[in-house]
Amino acid sequence: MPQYLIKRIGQAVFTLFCVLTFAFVLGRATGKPAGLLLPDSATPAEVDALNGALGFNEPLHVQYLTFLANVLRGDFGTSYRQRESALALIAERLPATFELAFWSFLLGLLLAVLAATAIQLTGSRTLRSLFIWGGSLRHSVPDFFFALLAGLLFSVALGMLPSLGRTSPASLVLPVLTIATGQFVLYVRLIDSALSDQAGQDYVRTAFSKGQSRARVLFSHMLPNSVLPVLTMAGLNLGSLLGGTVVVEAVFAWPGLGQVLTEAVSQRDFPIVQAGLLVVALIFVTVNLAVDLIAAKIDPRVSLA
Amino acid sequence: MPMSHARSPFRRALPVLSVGLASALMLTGCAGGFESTSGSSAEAGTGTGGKIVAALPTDPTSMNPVKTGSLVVLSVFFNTFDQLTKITADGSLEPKLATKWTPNADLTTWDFTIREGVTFTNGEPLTADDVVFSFTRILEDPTSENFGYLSSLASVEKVDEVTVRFNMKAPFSAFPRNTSLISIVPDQAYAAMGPEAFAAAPVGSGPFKFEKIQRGVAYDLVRNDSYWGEPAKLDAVSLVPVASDESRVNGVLSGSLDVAQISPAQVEPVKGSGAANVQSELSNGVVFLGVNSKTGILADAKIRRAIGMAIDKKAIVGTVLSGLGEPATQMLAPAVEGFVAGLSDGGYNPDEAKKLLAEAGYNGESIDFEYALDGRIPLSGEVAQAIQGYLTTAGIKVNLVGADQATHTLKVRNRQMKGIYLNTWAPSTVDGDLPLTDFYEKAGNNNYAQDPRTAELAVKQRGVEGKDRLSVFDELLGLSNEQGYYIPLYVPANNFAVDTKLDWTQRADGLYDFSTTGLKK
Repeated sequence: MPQYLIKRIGQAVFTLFCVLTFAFVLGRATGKPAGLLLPDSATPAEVDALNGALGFNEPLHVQYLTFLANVLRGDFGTSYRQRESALALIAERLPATFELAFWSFLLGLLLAVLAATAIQLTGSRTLRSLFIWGGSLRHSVPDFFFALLAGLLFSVALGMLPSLGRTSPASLVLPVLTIATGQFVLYVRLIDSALSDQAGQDYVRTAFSKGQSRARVLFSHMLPNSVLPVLTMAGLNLGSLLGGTVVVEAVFAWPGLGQVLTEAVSQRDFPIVQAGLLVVALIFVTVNLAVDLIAAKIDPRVSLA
Repeated sequence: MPMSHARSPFRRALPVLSVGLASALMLTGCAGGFESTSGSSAEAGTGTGGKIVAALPTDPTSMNPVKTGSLVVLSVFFNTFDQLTKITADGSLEPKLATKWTPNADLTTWDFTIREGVTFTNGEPLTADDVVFSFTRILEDPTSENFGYLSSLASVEKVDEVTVRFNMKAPFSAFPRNTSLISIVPDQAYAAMGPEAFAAAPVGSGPFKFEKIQRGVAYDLVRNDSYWGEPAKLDAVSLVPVASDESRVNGVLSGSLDVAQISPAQVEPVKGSGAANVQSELSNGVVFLGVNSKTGILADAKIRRAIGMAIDKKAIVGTVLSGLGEPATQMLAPAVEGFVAGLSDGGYNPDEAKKLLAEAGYNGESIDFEYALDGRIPLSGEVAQAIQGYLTTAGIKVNLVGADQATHTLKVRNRQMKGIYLNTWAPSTVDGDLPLTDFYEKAGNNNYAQDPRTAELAVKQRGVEGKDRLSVFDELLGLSNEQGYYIPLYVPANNFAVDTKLDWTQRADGLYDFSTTGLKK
């Protein structure tokens, strides 16, 4: 186990190093940013001076080594525009993103579990088609479009919910609904097929032959055994949700990580982009590791060696 | 294998899962916490003046006026800080913190008399020292976004308790207009707090003061009851960054927002909804084609003129922009000081264009036409395609190249354009000096032509005032049209969706000044 952990952490560090290098190289390939930071009236000399002050007139390898050395010291630099610690600016947005990600994830998963168990309990093919078709239909509508429609219906037409911002718990409803309904079908399919797999297993037949009720067999035996495949998929999804939900954040003006990252990319605010990508990668790596550990805990057949 | 509940894998994982879930919820819970100061729509609150929520197109970078001066942040600073002068909604110059300003004979120094009895919201009196401090801090910091606005300024000094002298590097008649963009900060508080702490809790002297800053969420302002001037009518203003056009429209229609800038394409739907008013005013900007007049066939003035005459600007404004704007005849908008009434750029004349092309011996050479896909010019893609259409009709071969706004801006800044390109210039000073410096002086970003005569005239207008200055603009803008150094296209309108109860005067630059805004009875 400790050996396994050390190996995984080593892999994680390498992944993060690659992410940082990518962020650095791709960022530098788009040019020096000072032209975007100064007003139109700035002269080329002023632009050049600012590029110099930001370190962009150094040779590329010097910039890269300085960058890595600073990162090792935990210093991601200062945002070119906000002039504050890039890492602090990213950290400031994490709560909003986490909030949106967790509630969306929970709601999506909960709805899917309810739907899948309902299918199994009733054994109704119609119900299965209904959930899968309905979910697929929702999934096939891009999130931004669904979000706009939801906003038009619930905010503009009905006036029930705020159309943007993060000002009250009601602000959460539309963005969470958008993400959760979009993910619903992915989980339904997984859980349903896992449950269907289990249904043919010997132990299930045995349980039934002992005279256990359908509900009892489903909840005590089948559902726990279906957790494993769902867990992996859910972990990946959670990781990507935690990395910021750019589109939904944009539509609902949700002040999360996605918003600050897209803004930073379009402004070539490299310290924020680099710090942001590292945080996103870190979240992803951590969630994946956690999923593996939980999987091993649940199922002794999963070996961590 | 017997099924034992104690060994059920689910039971075993339960502690792990629940601890994970609980800690996740705690994370969002601790750090979350909703703030309910903003979000309500135009309504009479506990005070009498009411409270409004206004959308900002992007999240302002910082609340430190020494460091930042971008357009979006000016929409906050105009309400919370004082500047020496003020550009009114119609573009004229008015006293604000300064009561009067006088130049010396050759316009190389300006003496500003500072209003007495003004205090910052922390109680510190506003004196000549604060003015000197605010300007000097910018001059000392080339990374300040305001540095470019003060490129004409050599130094600032205090003459006496109420007089500040600005020493120019060269004669500059329009300097008082540039001071309308520079916010005055309290020197003692700023020095004591330092830039970061000041940005987190800024202290100004404007009609509103900061109540709460939640970056990316809302900038909540309340009326400054000890304001030296006419007190604001509104009790509170919340400025909320909303980047997406669609979300801004939905925000106003649903009552989450009271005022927000919208795109020309959204004007009709908002009007049709009846839920909000639309206010459109001609802006202070010109959308134009920049021309790399040094390379290839574009080095020929006849080709450049032909491009201008081949484009039906009136039709573009009428159809693509739904009539929300007007064709431009020169490189300044009518609202801007220096605009020359009656100047013509030849208008739409496809026959003349074809004749010029033939005279120049144009032989179907392809011209690159670069534009930004989104960003500063609303509907830029549609506009670019319309232009391409007109040029193709005239027999000019155009190679349309789109890029994102940042890439486009950097190309402009590095003078890397190869053919023609779509660009815009809207001077926040509502004076011709800033754009014409950029268009015609040697160091200008858009100046490919490098004509020594235009450079000379652009310098000359700074050394003269009034009528003499206008005649220099006349010659300069006329020469530019004749040579086709630039092709002015149109002056767009700024369009806002506005709550029906709101009584708000729109500025030409589209920035917010809520000092006289109120709710209708």
